[in-house]
Amino acid sequence: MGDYYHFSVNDFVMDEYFQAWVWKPTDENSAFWRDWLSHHPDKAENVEKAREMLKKLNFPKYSLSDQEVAEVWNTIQNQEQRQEVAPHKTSLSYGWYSAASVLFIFCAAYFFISQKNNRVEFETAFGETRSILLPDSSTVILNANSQITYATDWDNQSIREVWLQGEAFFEVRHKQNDQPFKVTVDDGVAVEVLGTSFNVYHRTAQTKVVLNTGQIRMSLPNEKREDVKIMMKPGDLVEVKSKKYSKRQVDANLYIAWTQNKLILDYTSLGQIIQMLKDNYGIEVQVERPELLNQTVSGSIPMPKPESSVEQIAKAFQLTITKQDDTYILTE
Amino acid sequence: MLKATPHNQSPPSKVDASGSSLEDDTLWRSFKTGNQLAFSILYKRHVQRLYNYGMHTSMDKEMVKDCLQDLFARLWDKRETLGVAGSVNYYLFKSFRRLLMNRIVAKRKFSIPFQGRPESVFEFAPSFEQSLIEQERMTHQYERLRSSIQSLTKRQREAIFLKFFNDLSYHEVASVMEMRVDSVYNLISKTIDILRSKLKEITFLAFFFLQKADF
Repeated sequence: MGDYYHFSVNDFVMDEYFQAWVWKPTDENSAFWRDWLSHHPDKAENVEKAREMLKKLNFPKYSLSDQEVAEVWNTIQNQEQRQEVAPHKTSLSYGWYSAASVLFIFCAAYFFISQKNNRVEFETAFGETRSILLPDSSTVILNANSQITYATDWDNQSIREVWLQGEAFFEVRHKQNDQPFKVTVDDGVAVEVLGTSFNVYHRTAQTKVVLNTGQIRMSLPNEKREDVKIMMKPGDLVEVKSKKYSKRQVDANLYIAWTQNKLILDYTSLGQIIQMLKDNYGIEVQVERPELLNQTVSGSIPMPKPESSVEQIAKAFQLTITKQDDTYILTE
Repeated sequence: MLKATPHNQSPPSKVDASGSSLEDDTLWRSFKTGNQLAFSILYKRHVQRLYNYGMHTSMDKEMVKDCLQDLFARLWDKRETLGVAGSVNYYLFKSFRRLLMNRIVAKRKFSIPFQGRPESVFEFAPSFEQSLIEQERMTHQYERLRSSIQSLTKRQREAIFLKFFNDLSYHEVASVMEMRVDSVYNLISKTIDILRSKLKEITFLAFFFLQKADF
């Protein structure tokens, strides 16, 4: 870097390492430039002029509010769905078109009404996952066949609250004012956090919460006394069924593999897999003998299409598939 | 116990909540395999900067938001086939600029030619982080700076904006603006000359104050 000696003011202004020192000073670049200046005091004036120039340069800054950031994102996700539907359109009859447009108007109206009440609701179909940005730019990945509802004006509330049915992964941003974040499922089980990431599953009177990072507090309804509070550490899984709960340590990544369109199995029973196919894809699978349900499997299965995942699972368990109406039957 | 058939596609790319500390490249690879969380982190990381650039290109807020939606929707649709040579930041700027320009051109075709204001801005505001006492003196300078910036061309302003405020290298700025690297370099150098000659007095004045404060 010897040629800095011959640098004009302009050269300094345009030099990236020099710019870094002015705008993003680190111990390293500050030390370098201090040292360089001490060896070349005659260049101090040029350096100072260049510094001043860079400091003066500025543009007005436009930015989106957290809520706008979320809105833009959530609209992207809407478009995405529309585009995925598009290829089928050619094969649809006019009847379907009108049905679809009625549905659209209905949805739009519903969206409008719920917006008016400052609430939004997102729903996923079977086989569809979607990511949603909340008004504070926390991220939610909503699993298939699930629904989430929340108010849009969190700034005016003491708590950031969402209601969930189905399954979702949350990555919650910690707010400077420590405003708590709460996920409630419909039997009164709630997860309360400040900023952290976790997975909540709630279907058919069963709730499972897995914590990835941070710390969370779960509360369970209790008729007699105050709600039961459970503190969770990363890797904890809390399972709630008919007002009883159990806690154990698990590999939390297995429980969020679905966010990456993967099914990661770790001594997972066929019974659990069948439940998952029903929950997320609306696929009915039956087995010839109930004992088969207790067999377990480990490994990872990509989940691009639900039909092929049934095939893969059958293969893993060395079973054959037959299909009756809409039900798959697995036999030995 | 049975074993699932191991599938030998790309290694599992994990993105957990601490994903926010991951490099763009890592997130990008993850996003390409269909990881929505990685995609949303990339979005959150870059959206403000792109929006700011969009607003400097066109003051039409709705249009800029539309282009952002368009950009990220396209990225998701084409994620499997996207090949990125260079940084994610650069790739986003380049794609976003193309979308913006198409939109601006299309809009011009249909807009009434007589409009009072220029729609493209690239306006500077001085950054005066100095004390309140100094601010009054600075307002004077601000006006001077402002007028000198108005005399710059749109291209000059855009080059400065991209290079100095958006972490792009000279090569990347050249590619985004569809210019040769040496032309960008010359363009920026000339722009700095112009600004400096107009700001000479100010710079000298400030020099004496800052010397004491900083060294």
